[in-house]
Amino acid sequence: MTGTLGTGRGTATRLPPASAVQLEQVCKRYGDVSAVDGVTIDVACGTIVAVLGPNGAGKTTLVEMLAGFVTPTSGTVRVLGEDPRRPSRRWRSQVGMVCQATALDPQLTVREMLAAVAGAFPDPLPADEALGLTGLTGQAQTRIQALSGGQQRRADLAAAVIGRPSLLFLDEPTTGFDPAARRQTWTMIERLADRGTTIMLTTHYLDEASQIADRVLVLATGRVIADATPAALRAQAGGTTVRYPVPAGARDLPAVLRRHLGPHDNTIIATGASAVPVLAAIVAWARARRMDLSSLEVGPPALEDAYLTLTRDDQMPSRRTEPSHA
Amino acid sequence: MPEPLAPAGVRTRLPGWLPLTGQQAVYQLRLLTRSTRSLLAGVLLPVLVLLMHGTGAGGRGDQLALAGGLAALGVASSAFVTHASTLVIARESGVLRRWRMTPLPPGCFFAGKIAATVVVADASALLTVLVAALTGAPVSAAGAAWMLIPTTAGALTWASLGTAISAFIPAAAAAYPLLTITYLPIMLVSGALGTVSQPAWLTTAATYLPARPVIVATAGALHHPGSWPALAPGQLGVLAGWVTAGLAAALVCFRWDPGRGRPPQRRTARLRSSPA
Repeated sequence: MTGTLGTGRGTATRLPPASAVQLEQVCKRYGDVSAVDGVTIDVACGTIVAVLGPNGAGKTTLVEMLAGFVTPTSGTVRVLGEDPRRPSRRWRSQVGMVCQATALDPQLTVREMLAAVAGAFPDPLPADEALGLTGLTGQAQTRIQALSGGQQRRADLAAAVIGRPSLLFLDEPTTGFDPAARRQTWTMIERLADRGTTIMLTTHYLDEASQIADRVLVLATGRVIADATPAALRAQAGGTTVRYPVPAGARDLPAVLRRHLGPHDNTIIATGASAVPVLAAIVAWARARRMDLSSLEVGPPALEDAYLTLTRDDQMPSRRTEPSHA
Repeated sequence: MPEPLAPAGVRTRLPGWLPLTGQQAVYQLRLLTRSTRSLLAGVLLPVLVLLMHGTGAGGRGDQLALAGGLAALGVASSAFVTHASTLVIARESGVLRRWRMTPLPPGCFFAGKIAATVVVADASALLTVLVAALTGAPVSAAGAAWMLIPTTAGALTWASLGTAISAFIPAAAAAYPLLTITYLPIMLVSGALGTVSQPAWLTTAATYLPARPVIVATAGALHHPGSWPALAPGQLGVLAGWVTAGLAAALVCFRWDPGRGRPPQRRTARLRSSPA
């Protein structure tokens, strides 16, 4: 199945193709392990696409295939109209990437590093502007090895955007950032998208995807199990969500509650048209054990609820929300 | 409302190969001169050996032979060990991948990096003969300048071999030990520290290795500055052969990416979520 979502926020100035990214039945196998399994997507220019999924879902492999570092076992990959395995210099000047691990020479100052990277591009951003965008103006003369982990990630981000990319791949770009730096990065991503830059980011932060993404792809065991706007995903999760972190040491949960227990944490998350049966079971169970219910939450589902529902079992059959056309 | 980004300029042509190579050479030189490990390995090692060994003993020829041998040792250390290990470290840390994602042509990257390596290697050789002169060896300025022909040829040879071998070094932690046990025995059997007692066949074999021609030509340049050619045709042929082999192997085997072909790590971790 293929979906195209949105026509972008701005007008791409240097992009002839209408789609920034096109994948057709793409698979990547490592021996017996299928890292990416039959993925077909089409990303319109100027959109922000968040790729979500548990660890090992295939997010990084997918992004590395799009950047040309990994060869697909089968299928077709086109990025900005070219095969990323045989990219031209022009193509490289239009694509930026931030990898999962910071990749910078520690001996240089931030400004020296940016000047070196900028020199390879035909029309780079001024270094001061890249520094300002990433909140590193005060660290321009600081050697990268002396920066904090979060600042090094921002320096990596500055290097990725200094070439004015038409397409930007961000692999967990805000990992290690403090809340203020994350919000600053979101603003920067939105500004780039406003100029027509297409952005594909992988993230574990669901609030990040909810805040900035036009479209969310959820991967599990290498397959796309959901492809929709954040709002559509939330709607897919149902009407009301009950969330209750079960106190440590609590036992004897009734079966009606156990089936809503998350696999990784001891939290009941139940989403459905009516919250009453689950609420009644929780209240009855807690009353019998004189348990505290101060952490019980009832409300509309968040993106996180939809995500957890989708990824609760990696082996679940593929399901997909047909994206709406913006 | 955030300020708009600076508008794109009119310059749309990609930068040319020559300025890109120059920029990359300056960049790599800056990295090398700020790395304590590379300076210790390439510059200080031969000087320390020289100071420990001393150059005052023996005739003029012996003194210049030792200075030339140690200069060649510094060249090999800089252009092989440091060059290859920095490539491995850059690959493992993802820096090579970062450059691969830019429009910098691979040829410019390597030309710039090798040019910077040659500069550091030649500087190491000059420093070695300067120290030799200060400790009593009869080194002339003309000899030191003439020496740069064989040391530059040697640096190019070792750097091309280092580029090739970096593809086979699995991790940064293994780089220094592997490279050191590769080049140091070659330097010793080739006479970098003076003539050693060894089987004739080993001496013959050493003449076809990349170290011996550089050692002999460097000592010759210090002894007879200005005598042409600075490298005999045979020596030049040996070095050219190694350069060709090194570059050919690098073209086929060089890796930009640390993890190509490795299966992705399957990790079980909690979902990181933060409050909306």
